[in-house]
Amino acid sequence: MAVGQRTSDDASAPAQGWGLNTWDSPWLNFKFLLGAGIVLLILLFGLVGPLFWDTDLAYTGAGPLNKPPVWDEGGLPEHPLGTESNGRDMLAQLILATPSSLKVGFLAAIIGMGIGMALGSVAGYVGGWWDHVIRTLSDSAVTIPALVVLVVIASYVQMTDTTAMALILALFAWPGPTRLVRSQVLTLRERSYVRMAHLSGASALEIMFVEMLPNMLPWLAASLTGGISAAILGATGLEVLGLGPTRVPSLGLIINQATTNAALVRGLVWWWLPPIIILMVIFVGFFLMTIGLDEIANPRIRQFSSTRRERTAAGELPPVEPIEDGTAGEEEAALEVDDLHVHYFTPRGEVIAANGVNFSVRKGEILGLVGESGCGKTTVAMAILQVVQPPGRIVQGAVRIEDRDLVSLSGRDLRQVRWRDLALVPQGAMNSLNPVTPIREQMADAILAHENIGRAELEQRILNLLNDVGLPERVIDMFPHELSGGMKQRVCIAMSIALNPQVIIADEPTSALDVVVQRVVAQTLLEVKERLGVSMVMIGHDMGLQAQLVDRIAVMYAGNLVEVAPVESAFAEPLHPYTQLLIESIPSIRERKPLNVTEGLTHDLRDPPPGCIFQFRCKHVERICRERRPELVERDDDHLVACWLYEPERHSLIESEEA
Amino acid sequence: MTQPGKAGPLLRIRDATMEFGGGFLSSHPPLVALDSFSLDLHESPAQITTIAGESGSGKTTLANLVLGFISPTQGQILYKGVDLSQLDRKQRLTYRQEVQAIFQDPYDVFNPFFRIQHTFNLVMRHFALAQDKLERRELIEDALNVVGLRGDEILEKYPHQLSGGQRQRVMVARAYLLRPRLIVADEPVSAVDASLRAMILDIMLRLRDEHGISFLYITHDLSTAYQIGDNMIVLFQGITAETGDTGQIIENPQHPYVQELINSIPVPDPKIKWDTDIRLPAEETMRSQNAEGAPRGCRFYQRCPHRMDICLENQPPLIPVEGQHAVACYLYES
Amino acid sequence: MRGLTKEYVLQRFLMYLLTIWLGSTLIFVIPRLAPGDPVSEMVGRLSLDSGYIENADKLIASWKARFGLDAPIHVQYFRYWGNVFRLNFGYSLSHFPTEAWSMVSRALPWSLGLLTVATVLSFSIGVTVGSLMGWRRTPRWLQMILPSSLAFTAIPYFMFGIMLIYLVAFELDWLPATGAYSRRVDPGWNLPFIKNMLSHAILPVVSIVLTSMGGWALGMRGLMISVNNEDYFLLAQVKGLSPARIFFRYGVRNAILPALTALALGLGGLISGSILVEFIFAYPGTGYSLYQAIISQDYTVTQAIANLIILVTATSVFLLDLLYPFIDPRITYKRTMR
Repeated sequence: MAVGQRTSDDASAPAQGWGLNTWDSPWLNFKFLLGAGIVLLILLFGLVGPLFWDTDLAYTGAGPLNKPPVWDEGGLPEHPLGTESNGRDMLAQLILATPSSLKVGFLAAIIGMGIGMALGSVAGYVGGWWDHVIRTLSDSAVTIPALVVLVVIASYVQMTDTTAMALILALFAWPGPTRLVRSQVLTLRERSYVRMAHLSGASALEIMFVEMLPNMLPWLAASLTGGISAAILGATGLEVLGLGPTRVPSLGLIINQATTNAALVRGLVWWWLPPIIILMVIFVGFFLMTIGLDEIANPRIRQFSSTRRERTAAGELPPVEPIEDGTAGEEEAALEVDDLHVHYFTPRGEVIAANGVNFSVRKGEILGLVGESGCGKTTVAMAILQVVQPPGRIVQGAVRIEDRDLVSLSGRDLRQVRWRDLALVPQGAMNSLNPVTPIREQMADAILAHENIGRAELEQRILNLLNDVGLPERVIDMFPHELSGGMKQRVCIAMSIALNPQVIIADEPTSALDVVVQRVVAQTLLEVKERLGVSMVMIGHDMGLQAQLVDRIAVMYAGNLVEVAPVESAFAEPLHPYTQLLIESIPSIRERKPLNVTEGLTHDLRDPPPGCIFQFRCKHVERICRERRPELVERDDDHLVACWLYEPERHSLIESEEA
Repeated sequence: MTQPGKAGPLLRIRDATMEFGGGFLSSHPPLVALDSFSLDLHESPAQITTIAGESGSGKTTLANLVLGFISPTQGQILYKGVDLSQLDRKQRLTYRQEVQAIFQDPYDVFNPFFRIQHTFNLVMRHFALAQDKLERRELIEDALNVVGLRGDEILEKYPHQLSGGQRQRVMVARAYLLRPRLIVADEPVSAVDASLRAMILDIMLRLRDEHGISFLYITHDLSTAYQIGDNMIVLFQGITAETGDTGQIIENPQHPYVQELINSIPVPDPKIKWDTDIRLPAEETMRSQNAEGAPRGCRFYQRCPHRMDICLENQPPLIPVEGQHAVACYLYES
Repeated sequence: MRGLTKEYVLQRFLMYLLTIWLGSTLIFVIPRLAPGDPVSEMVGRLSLDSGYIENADKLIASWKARFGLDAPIHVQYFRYWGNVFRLNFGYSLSHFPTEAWSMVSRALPWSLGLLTVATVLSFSIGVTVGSLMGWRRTPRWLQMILPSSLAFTAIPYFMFGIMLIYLVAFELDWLPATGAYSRRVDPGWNLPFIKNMLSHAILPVVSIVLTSMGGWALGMRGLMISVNNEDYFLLAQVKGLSPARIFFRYGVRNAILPALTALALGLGGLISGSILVEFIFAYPGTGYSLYQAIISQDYTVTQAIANLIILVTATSVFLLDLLYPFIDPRITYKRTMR
């Protein structure tokens, strides 16, 4: 996954930069810092130890044989951790061995990382044959069982010191970083900012090191910590087998000497256990660093853990209080959304994505729900479907179909209503179909979850549905990647009508499609609606498309509904200044007109102003607009608007308040 | 490099063809993303030339060719009379400075690691635009003012702290800073909200009129092109389908594909509903045929309501219909 | 096109050959790059151990001739490759008339059995734990318990093995510490032997499984979290499917694909780790035999075993690769629509 996660329509938390200067920087990850602390402590033990303890005691005959540690019976204070069968002092041995084990790991991993960065960036940046060769080599090298080769090499080559050992270990430390850097470079070089740097005259090296490298840091660091512990493991493995340098004390060598001297059987726990404990602490430290870095690199994992934590900390959430049918309750409503409030609980505050949204969809009509990015239209759709993703949550309100409040339903009851009464045509069908199962299974899933029918009938039904949306029968056995965007979207439409639902939510159903295909898909939707008489909520931002498709239109701005009207009167006579702006800014293909330029200043969704939410962009703003929020009121025949301009009494309202 | 071809066009593309894939180890024939494309862009008067097309039309390939990210498999791209592949060091620097770009995603163009300042510093350094810090600051401030922004508001911020409209305007300011002759604007407004779109388009118009900067406006959206464009080229699967004055093409499209395209744009008026009688082809036939190797005949053949036998034989050449207006369609062969 | 294509199989097969070539060549080349030559090194080491060897020069020369080390390097290399290709490595040095290959083939079943069981267990447990950890609908109590299974993740297998031997075999005396079976039972298809064999296998398997499953679990957790955010996962919920169906068919089914790739890439590491486990438990598999061959300076057996392990690893990776297109229909579909 690349750094840039998809920014959704209602992004709950702003994407973060990699800046190191702020306290909410992703680098302040608990696991990473804890791991780094542990590794530092161990390092300190090895570095500072010689200042406090005589390391000459680490050599043969320095003390009495097989003495237990000082806290055991027979232990000597001059050998606090005891001695082994050659009379070597354990504490002194450990002090000497620890840094050399760490050194091998660091050295091998850093050499490997250096080679990996060089090869990986050449492969990713230069491409062509270089890429072919490097990729193939690193892909196969990574599967070679390193220790086997190491053992064989070590049996021939007498390794005199840790540096020689590190060099040989580095032979196996490069394929991982190479593969990582290559894939990162390949992703990053397609990023616009890298191409922009290219246009700014930056050289390949500068692009690699200044533009790309900082954005790979968490991955590189994770790979480095992983590499270090792998190298330490390799080195220790050789030492335990007795194939490492024998003149320099190392943790593995102590274990080797302990096992070959049957320390386990003889009960000399203090001989074999301490080096293992130190090694385990080192490994745990690097492991914590690695998983911490993974979280830093992957905002999704970070977010997953934090929402879970927040939820746990908040205890059980208070259930949403059911609202008794409060609105006038339209006779012919297929779907009622009643005082819906959805909040996103981000670490930087509560984002109000839907603030008291009220509307109903009449039987057989298409209601358009429009607004610009971040206005909350998709949040409303997700709330109707009861799939608001954490850290978002419906905090108040009701969504009713046939007098049943979906917000208060859960588990099996909710599952029964889903799809049977309320279906979805998702946004951008590119990713809405399961990539690994054929269309047949995905359609069957929806039907079989609600009905019990036989195989033959099921197949016939799926074929009929495909036929209904103008797809050939062979689509049934195809996989999503074999279909074009428009075909996938039509599969989604076919799926949505499988159970003849009351209401279909169509979430920007044509937004990622080419104009001609968009028209084909939109017409398919219209045909389906005409034939089945289903009600629809059509979410979108394209006013032209809305004019063509919907019966009534509801305009959202910053989480609030500002206007609901029949489409003809909304276009002919828009009342809310925001709706007017939206309609004026549609580029026309019929006439050339001067561009209508407006400032896009908006408020922070976490901190809505008192009064009208559109006040900062409104040309007609008055004092009352800054103080009191306008209600959505019917001002014309079936035409509702939330704006003080149409309240004749607005001046007296505010004066009476002051009096 | 003022001497060679001062009178000649600023940018000349001659029969540029771009193929991808194919080659050793691949069992597929290469994909022809752009087929014998030609275009002359003159320095003055500055104009906005629209390259319109749907996905797979080759418009992004064209942008990459003009910006020098890729080189054509065949044909030539000449900047001020010199082939891009033969620019010397100095010429290359001038070309880099004078041909700039604005990209679609106003978030992705900023390196998330750096403050906005970095974007400006990069160009300042490489093109040595300023003598000292003060002049540098002044130039940046000036460029930001052109797009209606102020330095102290944004330079110290990180990209994610700016709104989409602000980010896109910063990119225009960055391009303007270099005083380019040509800006390749690759879908500059398709990721920007409708109510902010006009602002970016307006800036483009002002840069053309007040600063004499030409634009290659690459888009799938014919309506915005109609509002600001001077000339237009409509691409279909790598082929130039129709070329001419923007008004001529939009108001009076000649190529059956362009007619279909314009008919499919939703009219933002509920009283004028789509003509539902129009028969649209099933999408299977819409899939790019040249994925299976370049066809000999017209690439629109399968979908064309007026197809004739001759259309299967050869790709029709550009046939002039009126003034600059030309169409690649045998219907107009006299 | 679905399933295996000629192009894909060919490409994977070339990778397979390349891996074997690379591994074997490393074994061949590196010792020769080092100062001195393998035989002198070995003799040198012998002299270290036993003080002094008479006629060391003669001995070296005769050994060299015996192994063909007096031939030019490229001739040696081709000869070596002929041996690798025919799986013929000559006679064992330490157990003379026995062929190296037959010694290896005796050890192989033990390793294959131990590793297959351990790998399958650790991968399947790890993947299950990870999937549950990365799923939003997992019950709260399970979410609390699952992370405890990661406790031993960071610890190398063999260290955990040493501690298990100490605790379970010596202190508690519940299970045998070393070997594959006791001398007192007759090897063969009889119940006492099988019971005895299994009781010997428990500790090595447990030490591999407990320490390696956490890695799979963590990887799978991350993958599952990504899948949780996919549009198709949301659509499955909206379709009113049962949680179990969503979990398996939409969640695990997609998340496991990269995990399988990771398994193929991680096999080498797994096998490396098991060598040490076999050494610690004196388990008579290839890893232990490799150790013994090295200790007894058995040049031919060392090469035979090392090449065999490389071959087996590469073959497993190749088989996994061939399996992959059947699980992921996209893999052989080269050209995307434009």
